[in-house]
Amino acid sequence: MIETVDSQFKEIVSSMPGGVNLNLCYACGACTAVCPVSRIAEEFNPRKIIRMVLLGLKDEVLSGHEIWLCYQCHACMTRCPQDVRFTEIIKALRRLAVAEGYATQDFADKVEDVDAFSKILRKELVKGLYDGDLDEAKAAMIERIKDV
Amino acid sequence: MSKPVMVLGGGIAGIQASLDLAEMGIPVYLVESQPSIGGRMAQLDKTFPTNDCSTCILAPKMSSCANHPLIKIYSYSELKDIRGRAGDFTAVVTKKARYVDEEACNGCRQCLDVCPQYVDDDFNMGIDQRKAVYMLFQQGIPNVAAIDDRFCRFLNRDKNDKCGRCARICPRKAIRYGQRDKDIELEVGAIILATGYDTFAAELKPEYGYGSYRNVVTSMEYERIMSASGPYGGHIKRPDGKEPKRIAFLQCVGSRDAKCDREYCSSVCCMYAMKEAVITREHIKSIDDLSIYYMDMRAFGKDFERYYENAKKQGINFVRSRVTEIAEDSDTHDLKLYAVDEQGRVSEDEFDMVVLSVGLVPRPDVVELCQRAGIKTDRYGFVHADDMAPIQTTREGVLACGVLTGPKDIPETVYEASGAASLAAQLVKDLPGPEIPKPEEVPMRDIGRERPRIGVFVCHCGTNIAGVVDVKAAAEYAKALPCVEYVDDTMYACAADTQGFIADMIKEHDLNRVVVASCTPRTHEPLFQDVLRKSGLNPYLFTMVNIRDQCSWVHMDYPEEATEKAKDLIRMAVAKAYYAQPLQQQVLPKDSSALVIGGGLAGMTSALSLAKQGYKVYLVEKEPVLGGNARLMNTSARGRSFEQYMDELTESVYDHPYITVLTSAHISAVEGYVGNFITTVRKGPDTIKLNHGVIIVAVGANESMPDEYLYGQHPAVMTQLKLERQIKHHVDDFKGKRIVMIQCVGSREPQRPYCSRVCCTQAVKNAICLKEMDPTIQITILYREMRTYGMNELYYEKARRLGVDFVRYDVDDKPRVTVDEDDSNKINVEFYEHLIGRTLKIKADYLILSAAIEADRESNAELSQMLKVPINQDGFFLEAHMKLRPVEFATDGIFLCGMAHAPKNADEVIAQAQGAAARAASILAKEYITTDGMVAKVNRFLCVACGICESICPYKAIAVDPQLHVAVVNAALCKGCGLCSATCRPGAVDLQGFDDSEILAQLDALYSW
Repeated sequence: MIETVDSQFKEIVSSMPGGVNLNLCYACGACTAVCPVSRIAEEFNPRKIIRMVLLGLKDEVLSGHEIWLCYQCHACMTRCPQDVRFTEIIKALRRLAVAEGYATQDFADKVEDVDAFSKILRKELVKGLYDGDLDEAKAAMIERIKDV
Repeated sequence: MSKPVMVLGGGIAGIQASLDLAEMGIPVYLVESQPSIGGRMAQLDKTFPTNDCSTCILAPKMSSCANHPLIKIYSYSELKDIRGRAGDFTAVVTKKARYVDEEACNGCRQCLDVCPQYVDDDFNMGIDQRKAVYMLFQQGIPNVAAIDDRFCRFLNRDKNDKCGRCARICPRKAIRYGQRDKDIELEVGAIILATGYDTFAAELKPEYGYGSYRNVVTSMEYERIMSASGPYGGHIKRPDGKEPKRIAFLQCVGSRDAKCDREYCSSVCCMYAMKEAVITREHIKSIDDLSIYYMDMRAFGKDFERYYENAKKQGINFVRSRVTEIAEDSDTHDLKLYAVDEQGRVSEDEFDMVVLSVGLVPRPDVVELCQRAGIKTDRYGFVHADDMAPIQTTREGVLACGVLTGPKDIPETVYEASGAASLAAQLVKDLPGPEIPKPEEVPMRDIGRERPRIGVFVCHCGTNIAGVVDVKAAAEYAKALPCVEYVDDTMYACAADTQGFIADMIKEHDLNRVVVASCTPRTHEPLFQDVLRKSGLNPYLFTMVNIRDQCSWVHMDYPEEATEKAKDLIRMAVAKAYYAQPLQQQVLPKDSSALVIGGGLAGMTSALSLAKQGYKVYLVEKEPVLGGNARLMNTSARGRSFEQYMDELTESVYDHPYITVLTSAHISAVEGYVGNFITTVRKGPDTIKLNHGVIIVAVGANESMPDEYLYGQHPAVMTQLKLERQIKHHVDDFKGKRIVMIQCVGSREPQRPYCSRVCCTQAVKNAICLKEMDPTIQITILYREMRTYGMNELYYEKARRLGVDFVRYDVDDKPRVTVDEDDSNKINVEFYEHLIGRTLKIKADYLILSAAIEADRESNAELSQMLKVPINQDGFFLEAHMKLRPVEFATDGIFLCGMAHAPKNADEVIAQAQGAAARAASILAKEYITTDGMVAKVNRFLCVACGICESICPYKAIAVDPQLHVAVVNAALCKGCGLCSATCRPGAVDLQGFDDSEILAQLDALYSW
């Protein structure tokens, strides 16, 4: 498939909060190599997302599931030598996806629920492990997962 | 004698500037903060792209500084303050207490042996230890000890230990515990700053673990680890002692990094990392993995691209990725690197050792000095340099060269240093200074009736030679050779103390021939000849044997055979020395004007520089107007207008009473030799003969004409230079348009396997210019590797910030360019985007090609024939030495600058042109030309005037005299190559210093003994 390059998309994203240094990316890959999500999901590639934004592949970026995979851990931002704020850019892309109808507000809210739950999940399991009642903790979490 | 100049910093920049000034007859105070001159170059192992030993090429220049009567070295001294103004400065210099009487100390090192206090050795980057009383390095100059008062037990009054051991053992009573820092005032006319750089503190990138992971080292530490004179004697080891099998080099540590406020590129790291990898392979044959992690490989200098290609062929693994972090295995201390490939796969590769290619940063003490002295620095602390005045600072009369003004390699540093000397000379030449007594002439000893008494000195060169050759055995062997009166083995024959020792032995043993078995006569012969001269012996009674290149280097795997060969070579040299005769040098008159060939930016700059120093210049340009390429350009990267600058420069050239401009003129013949050239110039119907003493070749190069991407077939396709013209005259054409630029058009490909250096910066500069005019212009730059080296990186950053897109392409999958089917005014550019893994298309209004810079091969070949100077395989002129002689040819009296040498940016052209002027002036400043003694000599009774020698001589140095009917040698032209002697059938021509008796004696020694 041959696509054309368009710069409007990057102008929109770079004008949003956190998008300020988007253009500075020189594609070194430091963000992707440090990303904990990239290690478990090969399709999640922060550098590639930035490239796609820079080259104007708007439909693909906003309609795909990749932008919702980010943990928001900020590891990429600690390593970027050009101070590109990928975590912030992901937030901007999610807002755009909702605003332009690529995703529903309900979907975005649910992703937040998942984020909140996964944090609780981790906390409870670690605590269970520490207290020696991991099975109990697991069972409690299986009950709660039904609500998400 | 003119007013002195102060040079601050005794690295290669300061050394070069000092030597140039001294050669021009100007006294120099060379001030160095360390106990020895030498600077960073003394710490490096080898230099790229020739892999020369760094110290080996530097040491002769250091010695020349020490030996020059016009250079006064103030080592272990710092500049405190500059008072006054250009032409009339008072420099306040603090001579730090070194607690040693410099006059009394003879560098015997006995104090070093007895000192009980060990200290981390800064010169070896703290990898091993030295004593509190120390000498910076083996070949240090001055060869005098210093006491580090931070650690000395006596000076720190340790109550339990009444030390004073060094004072007790010193045979010269040179220790002075009572010495204190002392301020001295130097009256100088100009000041050259050449203070160099620090390396980036790798601790500031904690993700790489430097400082906590013991096997992560910096590149400067690795240079010392590789060095034969380093802490491991040249055996590459990890700091924990294990020999590494897998080494990774990480680029851009502290460069191109906004996180640590180092946005610029450090210019040299890509090449030094490649060199370190290549040399490592020579050290450890069985190495499994040498990987360089990089973002853009910046092999932009002369012959660098070939080095890069060779490194790839040698199996160096190049990984395009920035390593995000390093993890250490706490048991094995091996290291795991996290990186990502272009397909997005995260890799976790393991290595035994990691070398961080740390960037170059300004020295904080120098930044402070500049603030005190009113010299402007940039936001990083580099001394501010203007594109059109790269060597001047904001304070008049204070000049700057080397990395002090921004990251750069050694050749650029050297020509800037020469350029600084040139500008300083203009300032001080008419100012009266103190009389400096000439060195006393040592009367030559008449050895006519003496039987040969030969001294042999065999050099260890640290482990360079002794690591392979059994030097002691070779020396022992020499003792039994006929007429050998004295033999010794020395650690470094070139060290100042050893030179003194050789002189002492000449006296003590009444030697009248000296043989040194060490390294190459190309760099070191003059040094030893000087020792003989000062000892009252004719310098041609010296014979040198190269047991380093010819034994230890080439036979490193066969130590026994190498030792036998060294003995053979020494035996031959002794046999030759037996027949050595004193030879006489001639003194010839010379002309004090210069010919500059080429009237572009380079030629005009060097012509004006020479004229301002008071020399007459002929400036010959083949075009009807002066200006060359610079006339076609719009602005420099920093936005300076070329038109305005070139107008002013042209006016100054035409107005200068010492410059004669000949436009529409062609060189048709060059005769003569250094000091006495006669050049024939055709100008229209006229033929003009010019007499001059030196020649500067500044013929430039051109933007090539592309043969791809629809160039010449579609009006919307143009080169960068054409774009600059369009921007200047029809900028509105580009408003709101879609523009694509393609880099490396015709560069880095088989027909031109070199990088054209200027195109990345030029493309970025033009893109910025367009974007600033109209932000709605969309620009995409397709590149193979962005090589915006040094401070140019800031323009690459600016272009990205302004929204210019950069997409990488591979040379075997180049962009495809077609005319749009629907709108024939437009051009479709299709290219593969690696990171998202698909082909993209742009419908462009303009396609700009960054065409290669190419030499005019035909005209350069013709000129090289006339001048008898070489051109390289790419058609550019070939300098005498890539690193240390970047503006001169091997042939005396002929210099080069600008793009005739290699593609380069305007600021570099200006610096190099000023550098060439300095080197040329060093000849013009002399009263006479002195010829070499080792020249051909004709026995007129045997000569039959057949003329074969005349036809074969490459230097036109021998010709048959039609009246006398014998061949006659021009000693000033003769290079002593020996071709005439070898071809002469009656055996009438002999090369003095290599005559038949000497050569036959050598052969006899080789085969019959």
